[in-house]
Amino acid sequence: MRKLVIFAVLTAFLEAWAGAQVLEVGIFEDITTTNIWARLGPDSTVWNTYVQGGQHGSLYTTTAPTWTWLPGLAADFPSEFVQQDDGNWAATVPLRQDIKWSDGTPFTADDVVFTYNVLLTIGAENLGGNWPSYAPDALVAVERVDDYTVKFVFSQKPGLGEWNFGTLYCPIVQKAYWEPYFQQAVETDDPAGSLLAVVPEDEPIIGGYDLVKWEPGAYAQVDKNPTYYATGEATTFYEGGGAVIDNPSSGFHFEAYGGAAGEVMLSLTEGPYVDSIIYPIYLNQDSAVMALQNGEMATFLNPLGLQKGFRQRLEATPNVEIISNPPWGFRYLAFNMRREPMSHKAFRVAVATLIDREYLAENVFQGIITPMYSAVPNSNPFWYNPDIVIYGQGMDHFQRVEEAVRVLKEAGFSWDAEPVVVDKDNPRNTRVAGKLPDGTIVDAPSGFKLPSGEYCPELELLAPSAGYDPLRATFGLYIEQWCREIGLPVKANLTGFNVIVNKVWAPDGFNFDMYILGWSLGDPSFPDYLYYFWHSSQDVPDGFNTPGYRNPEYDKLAEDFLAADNLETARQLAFKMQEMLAEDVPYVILFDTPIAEAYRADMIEFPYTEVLGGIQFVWPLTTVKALK
Amino acid sequence: MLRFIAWRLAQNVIVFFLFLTVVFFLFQAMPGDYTKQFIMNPKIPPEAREALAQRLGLSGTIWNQYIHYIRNVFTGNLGVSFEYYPREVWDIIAERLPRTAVLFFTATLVAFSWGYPLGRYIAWKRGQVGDYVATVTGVLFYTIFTPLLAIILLFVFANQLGWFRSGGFLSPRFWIRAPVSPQTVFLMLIATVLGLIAWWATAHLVTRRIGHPRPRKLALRTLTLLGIAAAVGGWYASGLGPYAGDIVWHMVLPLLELALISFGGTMLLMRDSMLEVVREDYITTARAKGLPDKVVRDKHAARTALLPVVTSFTLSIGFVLSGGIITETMFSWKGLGLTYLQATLSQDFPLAMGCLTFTGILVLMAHLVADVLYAVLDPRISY
Repeated sequence: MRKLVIFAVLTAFLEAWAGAQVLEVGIFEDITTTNIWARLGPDSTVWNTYVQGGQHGSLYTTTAPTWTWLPGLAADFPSEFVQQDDGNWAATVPLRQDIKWSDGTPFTADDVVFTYNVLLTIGAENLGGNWPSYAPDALVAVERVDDYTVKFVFSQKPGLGEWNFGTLYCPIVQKAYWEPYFQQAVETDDPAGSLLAVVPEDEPIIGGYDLVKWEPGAYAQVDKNPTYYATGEATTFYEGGGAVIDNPSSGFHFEAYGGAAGEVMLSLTEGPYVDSIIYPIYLNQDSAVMALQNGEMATFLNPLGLQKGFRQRLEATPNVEIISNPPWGFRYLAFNMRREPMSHKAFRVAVATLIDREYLAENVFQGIITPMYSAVPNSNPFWYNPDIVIYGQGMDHFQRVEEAVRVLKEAGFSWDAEPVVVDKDNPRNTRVAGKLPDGTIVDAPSGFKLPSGEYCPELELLAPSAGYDPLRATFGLYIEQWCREIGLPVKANLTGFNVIVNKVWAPDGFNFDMYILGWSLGDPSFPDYLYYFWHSSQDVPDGFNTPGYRNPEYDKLAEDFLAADNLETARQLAFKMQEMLAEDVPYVILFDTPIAEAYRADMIEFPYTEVLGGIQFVWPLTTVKALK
Repeated sequence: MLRFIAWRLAQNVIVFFLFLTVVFFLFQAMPGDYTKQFIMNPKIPPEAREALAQRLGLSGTIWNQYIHYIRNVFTGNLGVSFEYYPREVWDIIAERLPRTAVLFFTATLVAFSWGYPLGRYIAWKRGQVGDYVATVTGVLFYTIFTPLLAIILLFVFANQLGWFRSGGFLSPRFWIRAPVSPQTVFLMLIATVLGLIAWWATAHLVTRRIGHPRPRKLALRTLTLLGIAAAVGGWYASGLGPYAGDIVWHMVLPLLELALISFGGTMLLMRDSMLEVVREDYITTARAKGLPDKVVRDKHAARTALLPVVTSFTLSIGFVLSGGIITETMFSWKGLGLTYLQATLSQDFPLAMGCLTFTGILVLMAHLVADVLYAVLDPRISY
């Protein structure tokens, strides 16, 4: 026994010091599960995705950095939907025949059918997290046509949101491995809980990297899958918009969107190139930055990007490269439209008018934030509508005040002492004062009244504390100040993130007046959040529609958007939805920050560094190369 | 003595009950609702909620929840973590405990092994340069801002000199094909330290029978060295020595930080205590008898002055397992302290209350040990 242990230790020494290519990539939180049902369900954290995202494949995928929708495990695009005799709609998906699981067994239609049947039997909503988007209510059945063809049956014809960018993104698991666990689970009183509680060991995978070791609190290690089907496979993107996939080993060939027309824009050849990737856990950015400077790791992944101070420190470090990419998310102010005065559009417009994002971006934050206006970030030009109304645009502070007061007065709001801008001719003394009905000027406006004539109660503006996010905390304080300047009784409450979440998503309804939070958005190739964040069906406890925005016209657009069967139609609808949201202001979209990242140029090479959301958003695992 | 221990144990049960009551209502008073947090938790599947709610008594009144909580704790059921659902709280504590125990227990031992003799020495040499230097140094480290010291140590020894890694408790590359888990090595390290302490205590008791001081000391030192050699040999023979070495290497910086901060407190406490004792008549009498200075200092003064230091040491051991949030964060040493903080911030009440309950048990036990040690150390105290 002792000899065996010594041998193992010696092997470890040899491998560690002289053997395989190993990359260390720092992360800031531990993974929480190795179970895919939990990982994409209740444990769907970004850290789990970084480490284990490369294990499973889906039928289709969007490929960064162009965000082109392409087959993954499928051999071609799905067929058109055909209505069956029973009124249901069916489409088939052909599968690739050159794919094997890591245990050597072939990937077939049985695996696909099994995966979807787990969702349909247990109920995707019971698994939670991402699963419901893979099995929408309209999905009736998934059937095997032959070994390499699968038929999907829907009760109504699904649109892009439910089909291309929903159901077909579902990760596929191996039937042979999971079926016994599934059978055991369905025999219990809590099938979802039972499945989520499974701790898988030696689960066969289909992706490029497999989690082989997890030392809680220390690190996770993934090793390359020697049987990865796409090794050596080139995906080439052309300037004409075409994409071509070529696998020299299996002979698989696929082309779409015009194929090889025009110059090659980018060609990605799949690895995996690195034998092992280790994700050590650093619990603070300070030590992670030092580790990067020391060359202890090649890079670290952080969804919030690199803070300014750390960036400056790393800029001076030899061999460390800094990259900056536009974010795919936004931070926003939400109104509870179920309560007065937030239920009045004029009130929301007035607050939106008062918020001077440019002033904060340039004078307070010194350019570290990017002001945002539309519900789709401008970093995604295909879906971003630049022609929306922006309240207060181009106005200076006092013009904003006058405009906000005008809007409120027109809607029937009033004051005991109405806000007026005084000393306009003397810029140094210009200020907002109150004017009594008899024309007397007093120090400040007061007695803000609703259109009903009742005094407006104090309104709470919840925002994260400075310890959690100084940017949102500062926005909260400025919004409070600007509102109070014209007599709106807004009181900022800078508090814990969980406290805000508990109030916003309170079980008995939405218990807030206004709050500031942020969203990291999903797939940039199809912004289905435009439906979920503002459709009236989501105005239920636990729903995403926190403002309680109920606009039948918007609902119709959102439904059509999800049901649209081509991107151009969806895009036009998304543009109209953005216009409507900007006009009605259930949210005031405030800002976001560019994602800055650092890496050791002498240790790691990325296939590209310009990508929406940054490297951390796409984490191109199978195309990353180690230089040492 | 046995009656006393039994009586103190009974008292501890009552204190523990009161402690649990305070912990429960403290968490009830926190912003956010315990039960709502549970109901809202998307990690807990709807079907599992009812069973879990019954287990934790969440569906009843606060009084009901309290009764459930007390009953659960006394039956060893700390519940299931909300954050790491469906993992049991005990399971999470057991996973993080060894790392915290090894680091903080060793740091406490090191701090006391520096602080006690130094405090004794400078009190005896009060007013001299050494006294001033040691006191100022002790106060400096005792009052230093902990994250600052951690950053300084990391910057100097990891970033500039490159002697250590910037965080973590192991070098991942080295452990890629390790035949055992770090958890096992941590447990073996704990066993080694406890074994060595037991060996030393036994050797101490055995060598006390030797009449002459010189051979007695020689025998004790020889036996201690033999114990250490056996431990090192055991690690070598197991083939796991390099892994233990890797963990110990990673322990150096956090250990240094903790020891530097803690030793000042022990040293100053010992110094003050000694200064009180040396004014006592029996010290004057001992000197008048013509006893050597060293004997008066070590046998007469230090032994009495040791009492408050022993209390402090024992209580520190009790708090060892609650870890240190700042140290664990700065050195990426994920232990119980950080677990408690994160559980509190994410309102994972079962886990947070579990951590506090665990700390409470250990501190109460440490109190008991301190009381017993008092009787052993001070002949004037009898029970």
